[in-house]
Amino acid sequence: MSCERHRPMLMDVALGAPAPAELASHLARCPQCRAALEREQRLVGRIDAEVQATMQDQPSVTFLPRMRERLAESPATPRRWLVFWLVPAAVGLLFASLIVDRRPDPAPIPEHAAATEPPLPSPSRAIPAPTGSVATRPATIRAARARPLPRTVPEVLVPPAEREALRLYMRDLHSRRGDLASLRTVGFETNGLRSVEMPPIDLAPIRIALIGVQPLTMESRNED
Amino acid sequence: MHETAGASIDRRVRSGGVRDLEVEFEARLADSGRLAFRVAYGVLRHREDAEDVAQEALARAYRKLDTLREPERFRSWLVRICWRLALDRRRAMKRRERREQAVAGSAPEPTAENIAAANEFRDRLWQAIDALPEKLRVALVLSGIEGYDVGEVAALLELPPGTVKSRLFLARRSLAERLR
Repeated sequence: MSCERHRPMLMDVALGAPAPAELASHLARCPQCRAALEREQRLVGRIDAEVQATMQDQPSVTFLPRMRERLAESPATPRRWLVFWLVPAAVGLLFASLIVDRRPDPAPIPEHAAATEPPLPSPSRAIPAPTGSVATRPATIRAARARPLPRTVPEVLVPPAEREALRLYMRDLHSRRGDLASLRTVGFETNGLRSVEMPPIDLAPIRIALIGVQPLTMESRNED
Repeated sequence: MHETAGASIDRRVRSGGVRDLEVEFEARLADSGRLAFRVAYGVLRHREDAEDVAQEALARAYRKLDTLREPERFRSWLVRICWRLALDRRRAMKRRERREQAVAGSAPEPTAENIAAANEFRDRLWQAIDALPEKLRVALVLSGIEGYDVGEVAALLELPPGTVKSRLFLARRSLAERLR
């Protein structure tokens, strides 16, 4: 009866737990329980030995050389500085694109616009009519809207001597410094000739003549 | 507790002696390679598969080494990667075995000679280990590595030594009760 009470504790003792005093005194006088404890201890020892034997297996001699070869083939470790710089660069580009989009689009003066140059055809801003099924129409319209429209080129013919003056005037105008005095044909100055001042334009006041209006009669309708 | 090669590298990295990532990884490779292999082998018990898994775990660790803020945690990090990969591999192997058995019909009954072979105890033991809860199993497998005492296993699993001790006790008792 005493043995049955102590048997469950034998395993814990075999695993290294300290034996209670009562169990120790029982083991001292019970050979069956001592034998049972030895069996448990042998089993635990065998388990430990088997686990350790399995875990002592070494990788093959080719393991590390193959590992080094594999690492040499794989892409290098990504560097942290790359991540540090990629994000601010992306944000900077985004802001730059926003600022460029918000600037007023100055009317460009083509460098090669000359009297001999034929005017460019005016680009069409119309969205192309969608083709295909009704289901594809919204996508087509969205795609057409997303496409950047071509920049327009003014169809203005400027004499070569006045082109530079106009360019400077437009520049000053965009920087809010423009005035009529800057409209000079600098081409003459560069040729050593006197620049031409533009005299102020004197416009006569507009006069509006009275127009006689007569009521429409039946006779005049029949005449039409 | 004697200092393992990995612990020595950890100490050098902590003191600022090593931080070039490639040099650091090369210094760790021999020690960590063995550790990764053994962890994988403890799950798979198949040399070639364990080497494959260990190589994959090391390659992943190498690719992400620069994201590891605390170099002294490298080995516990590697153990986790390796353990997960080995479990995934074993699940895949079991699925494949089931498919093959289903195609080939029922498996042949083991003969009396096979049962009497010395491997019987080993097979039963590892079946019992595989049936352990994962927390107990990983502690038992790591404690089986030579030179890895409770303190070392606790460092690898980032657990208090008392917790590892109690898990090892429960694991061994469970195995003994199954194999009695």
